[in-house]
Amino acid sequence: MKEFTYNIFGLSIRSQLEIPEFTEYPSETTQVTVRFGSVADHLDTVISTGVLFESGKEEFLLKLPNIGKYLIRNGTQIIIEPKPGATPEEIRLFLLGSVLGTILHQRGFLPLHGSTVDVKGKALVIIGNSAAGKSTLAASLNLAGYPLISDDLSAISLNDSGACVAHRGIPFIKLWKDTSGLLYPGGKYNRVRPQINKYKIPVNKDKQMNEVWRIETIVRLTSRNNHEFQVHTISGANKLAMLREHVYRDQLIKGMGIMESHFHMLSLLAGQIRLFHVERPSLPLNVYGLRDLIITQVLEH
Amino acid sequence: MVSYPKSGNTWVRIFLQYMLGIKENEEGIPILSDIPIASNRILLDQYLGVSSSDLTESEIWDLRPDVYREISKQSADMRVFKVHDAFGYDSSGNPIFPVEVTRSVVYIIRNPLDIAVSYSFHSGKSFNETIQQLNDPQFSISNNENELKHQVSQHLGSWSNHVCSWLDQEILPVTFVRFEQLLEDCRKEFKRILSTLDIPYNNETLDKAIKASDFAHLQELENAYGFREKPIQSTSFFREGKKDVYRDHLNVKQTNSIDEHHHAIMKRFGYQLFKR
Repeated sequence: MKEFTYNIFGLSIRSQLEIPEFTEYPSETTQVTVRFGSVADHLDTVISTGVLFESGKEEFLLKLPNIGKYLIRNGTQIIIEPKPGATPEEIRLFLLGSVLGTILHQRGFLPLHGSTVDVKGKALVIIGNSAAGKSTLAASLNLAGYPLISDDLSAISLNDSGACVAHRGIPFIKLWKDTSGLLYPGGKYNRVRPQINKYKIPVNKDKQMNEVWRIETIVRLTSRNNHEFQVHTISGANKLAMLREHVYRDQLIKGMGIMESHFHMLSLLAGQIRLFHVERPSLPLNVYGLRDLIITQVLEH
Repeated sequence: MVSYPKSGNTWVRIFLQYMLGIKENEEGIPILSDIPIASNRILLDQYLGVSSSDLTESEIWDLRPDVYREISKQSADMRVFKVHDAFGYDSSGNPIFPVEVTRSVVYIIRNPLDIAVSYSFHSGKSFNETIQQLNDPQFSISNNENELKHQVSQHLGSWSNHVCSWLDQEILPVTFVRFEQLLEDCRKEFKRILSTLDIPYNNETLDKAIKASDFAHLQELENAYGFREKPIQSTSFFREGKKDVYRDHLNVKQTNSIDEHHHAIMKRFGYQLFKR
């Protein structure tokens, strides 16, 4: 079977599944393998569960009714058993979400639920809940000359001098029809799934970029029922508490002892960055107003 | 806590949250996060383990019963949820709110003539548009077709469809509470709700909770500090809290339209159109 090699978040990946969202990257070594195989319905030892997952000490199982099963072991192996009828796009959608997030958790990265852009060689991470507007803001900054580093899932680790760095992620951004139409008018992009009006937009795919960026600023984005934008500077112990809320799908790693080790990195991160809480009006969606506010009040601040 | 929107759900929710041990922020504003809406996307994502924004509407609908089972499994105590969905079944014919994890349903019902007024102010839509929604068997809220919302889509149907979906099912025990009765004697109705839910209480906490959830008090708090659940297009969430407000706002054609569409259910719950 043909195999593909990629490098994503600094990890060399060897995959039986072709992943066009990744950039091909020949490598002698392999840190993560992706292969097809049969996957049992349950893990032998289960520490915690959710509706679609089971997690154990070093294993994680994701079961999606119409897509298939994914078994993730030791941060090194992903075994996929697709359901008949699942399209390659659908199989990849969840591989690049919860599955990749779990790999990062297991490998000791601190994954944050957020998108990251390059600001003059340093990283700006935009964290927030689903529907906060992270990807839209990141896409608008990318168009304004702040290149996208990763979308929705940001991977953080410590470099040799103990600084928190963000790694280059998937060179794609996912936008719903409303914002993709606004930011990329007339563009023809593939849907993430045939039935969902969310599009995958390639961003900086073949651009020469760094592999890691020192994190300088983090913005937590929320929406509220007020007509004005508001920017709050977060300091002290509040920084750690706020960052902790946006660890990528921490429910997946409950009981695995990983959150405890993340805590160390979260504290270091809190000490190294400027953290802003930006509240935007829930309506109307003022993409450019938000982008300009971030540029003038956060980046040039 | 089930209701068609703008029928008093949040008011009762604030009362209940006080009874269950309220959290307030520095300004004394109740934090309602302990009684979330059952269609909250963050809640679903938390228990699913994937982003619901990557799932189709029908997949989400079919997974919702499992989410409520999982919440029940992981919760030591009873959890209260706000619900705007009409009662319904997943694609295998199982109720969306599984019987084995549902202790009780309280359905708050309000005169649809007043809902038309209240919902219009809430959503910033005209009375005619809101009446059209009340009469529309296909009506749903939080449609996520082209954009991502904080809640997953909820099918409501017309106001009568909504009431009947909960009234006519025989799977879950439902207690109907009339908004107008709450206005008249909230102590009596709140006590009825507490006993339905098997929530023990003493008179001291009951008094405190009633005082804290007093409509005028909530209005004062909202005027001073705002209210998080108010939509941006409306001027206030706790707007009037009165009955028969339609008489001051709707014309005969509008009230007749509601009466024609919902006469049977209105009659059943004692809502009579005031003829001018």
